[in-house]
Amino acid sequence: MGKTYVINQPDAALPEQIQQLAVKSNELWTDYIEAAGIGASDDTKTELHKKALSATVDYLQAAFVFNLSPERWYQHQDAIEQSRFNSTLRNGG
Amino acid sequence: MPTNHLVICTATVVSTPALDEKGMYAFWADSTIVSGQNTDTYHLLMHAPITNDDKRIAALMEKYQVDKRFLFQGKFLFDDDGNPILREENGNPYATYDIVLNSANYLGIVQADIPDTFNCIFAMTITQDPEMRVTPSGTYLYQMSGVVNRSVKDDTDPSGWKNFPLWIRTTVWGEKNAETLVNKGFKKGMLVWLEGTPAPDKDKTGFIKPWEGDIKEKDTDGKDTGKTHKGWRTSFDVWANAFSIRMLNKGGGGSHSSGEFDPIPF
Repeated sequence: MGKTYVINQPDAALPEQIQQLAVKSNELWTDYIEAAGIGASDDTKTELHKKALSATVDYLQAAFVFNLSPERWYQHQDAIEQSRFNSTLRNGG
Repeated sequence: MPTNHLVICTATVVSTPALDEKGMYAFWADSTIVSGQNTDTYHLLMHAPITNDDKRIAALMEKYQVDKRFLFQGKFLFDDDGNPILREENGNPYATYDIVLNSANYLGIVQADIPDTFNCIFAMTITQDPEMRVTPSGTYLYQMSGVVNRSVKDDTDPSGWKNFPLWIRTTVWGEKNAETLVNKGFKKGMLVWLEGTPAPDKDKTGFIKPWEGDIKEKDTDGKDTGKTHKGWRTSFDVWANAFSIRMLNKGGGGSHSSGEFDPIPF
């Protein structure tokens, strides 16, 4: 938050840190969905929903998602996936 | 085509991943959303970010098995006119949505008994001053219209970009929610983050609707000529919560001012 936002900025590289924000976003959405699944109270669901949304907005802002074409997005994600996959293999996961 | 949105949804895999016409590994997944008494099933073609790597492809095949449910995150993939990719089944239009996933391997499995969710997040420029209304039955609602500016590089356009706007109509239900948003003072021209779920698809034509509209023509200097031609545009109705709309920029949508877009014409 508190960043300067630039629309149509030239495509930016997506460093691993940005992917960590994406992972965090996914984790919080999972928390929210699971809370809904076990019948959590509306207040609990709303709080988890807000947290997930905040994390995702942080991710989107960091990623300059504005100007990534699907093809470029795909290339970035593929490269990051390759890195993550190799790391998982090294760690025996 | 650049976009400024993200899709987050749960869905059940209904086909084994296979190479598609774009050379991506893709599989079909269904997401069924219940809103009140309305149930809509969305048919999603998930494009996984995997290239020619046998080990990764094997991992993809092992993970995305038919009938398993996952949380997915990605971006809509539109055709060259900026609309959803239309398909037919038995000669009938078939509402489908292509999504390029942001990852193939780290999204989670979702339990089978948890209801599906379908959330879309947009960076949207407000094109009309929002309004709060009360229905004859006394239900409060807050409505906001705007546009997500999707652009593609186009050397033939003086600006270097060609716009494919995605029009958004948002409804927020409830007196407390509506008053909260009124107090936030959203106005035409502001850029906001908007997160919402597809409004119930009463006519069963899909939640992103291509429609033919008037496209303003520009001269070589990029100024309006006053002429228009018919072209395809796309609109999307979403329901949102009071906390789902956040200020991004008070001044307008970045390189494209709100003045470039007319109010949503319906």
